[in-house]
Amino acid sequence: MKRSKYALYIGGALVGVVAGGGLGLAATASVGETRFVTQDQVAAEWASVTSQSELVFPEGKSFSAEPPQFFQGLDPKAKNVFEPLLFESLAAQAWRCAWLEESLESGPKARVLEAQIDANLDAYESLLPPESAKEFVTYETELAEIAASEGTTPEALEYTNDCGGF
Amino acid sequence: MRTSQSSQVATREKRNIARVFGVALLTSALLTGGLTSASAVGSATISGTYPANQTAYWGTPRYNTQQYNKVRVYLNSYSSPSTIFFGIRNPAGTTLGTTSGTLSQWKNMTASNGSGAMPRGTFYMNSLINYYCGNPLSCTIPDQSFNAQLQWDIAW
Repeated sequence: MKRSKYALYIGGALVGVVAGGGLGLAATASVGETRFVTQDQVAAEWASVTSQSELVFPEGKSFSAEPPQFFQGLDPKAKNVFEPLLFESLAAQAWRCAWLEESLESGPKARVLEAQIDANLDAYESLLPPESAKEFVTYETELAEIAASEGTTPEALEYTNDCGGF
Repeated sequence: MRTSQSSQVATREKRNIARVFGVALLTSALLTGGLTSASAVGSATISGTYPANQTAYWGTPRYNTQQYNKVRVYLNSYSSPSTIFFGIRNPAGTTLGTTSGTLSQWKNMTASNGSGAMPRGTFYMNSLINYYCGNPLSCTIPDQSFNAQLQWDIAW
């Protein structure tokens, strides 16, 4: 899954990410200033984050109107609060999963679409908080090696690992 | 949640070097415990302040690169009198593991079946600090805080 950063500039799909600064994942609120989202605000927060997102999805795909599966199945008796960053992270991941799915569904692609897929998958790293971005690079590298040893693709492996909730 | 990273070594660079030096380095890796020993252990200092008796779900994604490695927490400090619990959850909303926090001890996350083997993939932390109040009618419950080390992708 070695992709050049140069790919960021390929295709129009990333214009929104670059121009709009993405989802602002690096803006982790500091202690003392953190606004938490409560359980009954989850749907509204998801709608707000996704409606403001400028991430461009593959044709025919978009953010789910419903909050991701992550927010389901929580103990209804528990008082749950959510860091706003979680919504941004999950939105970015939903977007990445859409592009992973696109790469898996496509079979042989026109070269321009391959470039678009690669560019969007590459852009994900730039949306992450700095520490997560480093970890993600390691993760991606490992997945590439594991996929090679298992006779699959990194995209397929990652999709299986991480995209069940979208 | 605040995090400060002490984390991943430059694994990509290591792998590039490994490709350059090929068989020689591969042999060396095998002698020192196999290729998986080259995998980085993820590590971060985590802290948070939030309302007592509520489970906080944190938004920084983490990545367990190897299938069925360990995730553990070392509690440096936390509010008291209280108990603290940690959990990790994948994007699909499955609770992968939980543990209670104990000061100055590494505690492994364990799944509901008792296994400490955490699956490969993305996960998010959550935490709960229970605050015990002598007289719930009269005491004011302050926000709670903790500071801990989180490690993941630890080979057995």
